[in-house]
Amino acid sequence: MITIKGMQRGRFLNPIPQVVTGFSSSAAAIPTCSSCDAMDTANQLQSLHSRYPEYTRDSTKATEHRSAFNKYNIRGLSQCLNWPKRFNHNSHAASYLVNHHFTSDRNTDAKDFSSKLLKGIPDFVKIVEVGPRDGLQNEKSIVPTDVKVELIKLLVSSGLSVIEATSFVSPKWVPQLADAKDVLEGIQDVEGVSFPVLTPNLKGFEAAVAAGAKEVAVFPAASESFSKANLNSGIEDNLARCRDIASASRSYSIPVRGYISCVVGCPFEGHVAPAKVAYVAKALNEMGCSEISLGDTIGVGTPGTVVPMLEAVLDVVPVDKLAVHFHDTYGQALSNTLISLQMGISVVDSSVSGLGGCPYAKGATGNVATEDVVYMLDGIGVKTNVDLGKLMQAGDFICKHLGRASNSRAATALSKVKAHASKL
Amino acid sequence: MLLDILAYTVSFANFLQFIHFTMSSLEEPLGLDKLPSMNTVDRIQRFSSGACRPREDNFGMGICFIEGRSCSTSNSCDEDNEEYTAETYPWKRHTRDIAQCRTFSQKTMTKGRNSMKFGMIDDSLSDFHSSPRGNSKDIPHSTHKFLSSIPSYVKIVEVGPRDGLQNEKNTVPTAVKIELIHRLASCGLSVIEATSFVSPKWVPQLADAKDVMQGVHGLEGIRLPVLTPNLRGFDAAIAAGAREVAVFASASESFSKSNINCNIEESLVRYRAVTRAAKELSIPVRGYVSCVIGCPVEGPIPPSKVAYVAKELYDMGCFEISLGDTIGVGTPGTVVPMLLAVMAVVPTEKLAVHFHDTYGQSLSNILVSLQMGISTVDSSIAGLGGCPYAKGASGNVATEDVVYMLNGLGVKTNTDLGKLMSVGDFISKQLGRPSGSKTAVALSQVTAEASKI
Repeated sequence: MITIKGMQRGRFLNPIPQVVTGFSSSAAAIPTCSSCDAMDTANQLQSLHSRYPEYTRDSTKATEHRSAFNKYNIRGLSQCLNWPKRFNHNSHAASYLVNHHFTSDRNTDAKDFSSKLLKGIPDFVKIVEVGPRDGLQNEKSIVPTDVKVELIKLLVSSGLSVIEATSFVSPKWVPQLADAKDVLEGIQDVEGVSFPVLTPNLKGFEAAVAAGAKEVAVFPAASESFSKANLNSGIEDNLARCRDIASASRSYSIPVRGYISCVVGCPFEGHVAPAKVAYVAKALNEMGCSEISLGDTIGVGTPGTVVPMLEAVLDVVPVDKLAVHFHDTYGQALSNTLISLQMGISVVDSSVSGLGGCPYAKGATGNVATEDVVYMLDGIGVKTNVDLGKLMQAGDFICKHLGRASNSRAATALSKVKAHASKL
Repeated sequence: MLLDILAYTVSFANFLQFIHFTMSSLEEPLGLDKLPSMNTVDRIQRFSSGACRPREDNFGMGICFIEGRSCSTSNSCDEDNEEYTAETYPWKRHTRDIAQCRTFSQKTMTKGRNSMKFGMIDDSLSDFHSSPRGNSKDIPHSTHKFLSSIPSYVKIVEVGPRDGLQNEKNTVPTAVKIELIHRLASCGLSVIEATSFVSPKWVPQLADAKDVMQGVHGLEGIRLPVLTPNLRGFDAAIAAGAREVAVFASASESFSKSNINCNIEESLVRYRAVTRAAKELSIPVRGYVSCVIGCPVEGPIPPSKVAYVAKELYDMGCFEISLGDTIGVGTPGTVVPMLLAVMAVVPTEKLAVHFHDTYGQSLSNILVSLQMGISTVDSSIAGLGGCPYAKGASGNVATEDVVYMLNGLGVKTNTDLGKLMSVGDFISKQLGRPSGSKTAVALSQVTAEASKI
């Protein structure tokens, strides 16, 4: 049995204000905990510097971060936390405070003891940002091309490595993404980031390739009725279409990402059998998809249904090729994401600011917010390479444009936190 | 009548148009907004008081085998499967097959309790027998390790009337509070935090504590704890008829000082007096620990501190200790070490978790707490109660969302989600704003959408 004394050896017990001192360019006098061990602190600083080299005293990087944050104005947070004013300049540390505290790396003691809960979680999780496509596609008003391009660029600067840029469907059906070609043109010069685009059929695929797309995505459903209603063809016909696209893309050496919708519940059929999902996943895998994203389209999943579904799919597709795409319509997305991570999934789809409502419940939320996912992953100690503060800036930008509040609770809280004495 | 015909004609016309629309091109949009919404009758039926009918006996667990729904368990099922299946899935469209339902129930009968816990109960009526992996026994045990430690029964402690309404800007009238508590009681909740006996100078919203207690005096079979910050509050609570009290320590010195004007040790001394007095009158005392993960002033809180305060409260006689993530900053990475520390000094069955959804993390924190064996969860109807530290940010986790997840996990709660939603609707209307529960919003939007057609 792990005793409390044993726990005290863990790094996470050292108060973070000491550690965060290392981030700022000047040593700050901050309220310290009397039980702090100077040696431990030094070690902790050392390891943090090595883990986050970008936060060393390199002045150019520091200035860059500062200006990014000053723009965002995360100052309120540090005031709330009662830190000296100079910390305002390194407010990123403030956001790290609230969710990095015990887990700048994962606490190995907790891992050993409750190994089954946190051990299986991957060390690195790739976030696939679907906001510019899945998010904006559901907007009532059409977002101008330059705003879309700016959003994508802001998302790129936050460290995201895969951003779904747009969709090559007929503008008659999805007018919001009619400027697909122009969007791709606008992000042509961005390097090191993958921009998959949706291609529902060969025509869309050709258009995408002509516009310079370097990765495409296909979208079958696991439910027959949903497939017929949404894509006007049953699952088999749909898969046949996907095969055509997959073989065409092979000749261009373009990777194909497969999405499966309705993996847990369907608005027509109700519960969807895990076997069906596994069947579609297997087909996508066999036709050469580089990754298969399992989408809970109407957000009704809970760990009780997600686990059997994932087990069925894991039987036929290797775990490193799987991604999860949960909707937060019933508030279940993060717990579903957590259980998926525990089962070894290491790719999560999300949308900045939770863009993209649920088409089945007008006004209800849809995609899970990237900021909330990153907040949780940061807290667990999972590496994402995504900078939460910059991500929030991107979210702020698009929400200002759309004229409404963010659907991300983490972003809302971080932007509104301020000191307030509450009375019991 | 005429309007009904008109509505029907319009909806039919829409439907026809839709068919034409979808059949005319292969290039279907991936947007889904063009699909017809669900049958109005389904929706309305769902929320009527007779909507939730328990199924045939399910080995004493008494829950409905439906994701997102639960029935009051005390009644045995005596229904009409046909009517029942009409509301099987809140999002489901209108085709049902009664025969399949019977097959489903027969099959379920033979599967045993475990299968329900793992969510097999959610198998669709039509798809159940087509799934080769329908039986949980076929699936290797190791993959269920994440669900097997979850308790089979979770007690929900409803804190809306106190923790929720306490944070409202406008004072809610006493009659509304009493009505809220009565309605919550009818949902199957067994513990509802009624009010707080603090000085009205500090919390004017709960100045009517005595009147509220009088109004709920008749409620039987429900526990109604009240907060008592000191002996004076305790005496007032007893005089008003309270039969259970709660005390509120903090794991953070600075938060304790700024919130209740004394440091942790002093507050514990105060509470020892309260628990001593309570013991003499055989009144159970519930202990809360606030700021168990992070403090707005101090930052992260060491798990050992939380364990210390929890142990003190437990030793002084609290029958249950609720661990509160007051500012909602916790994630599984911080919740697990904190729970480990506390579980080392207080038995797990005496612990409850009280997460705030300020950063959207509460349900994943609750899930990991359940996985560690915690079986009591505090939540607030419609997510009432904002975060005092981040104006406009959410606070308490919504009871509807928690119950939705627990139902999906196959965990017994004895609460009726449909009734909870109507209570949430009631109080949200009273407060004049939308519910803080995503489940409630999703299910009610679906209704509203359907009723427009």
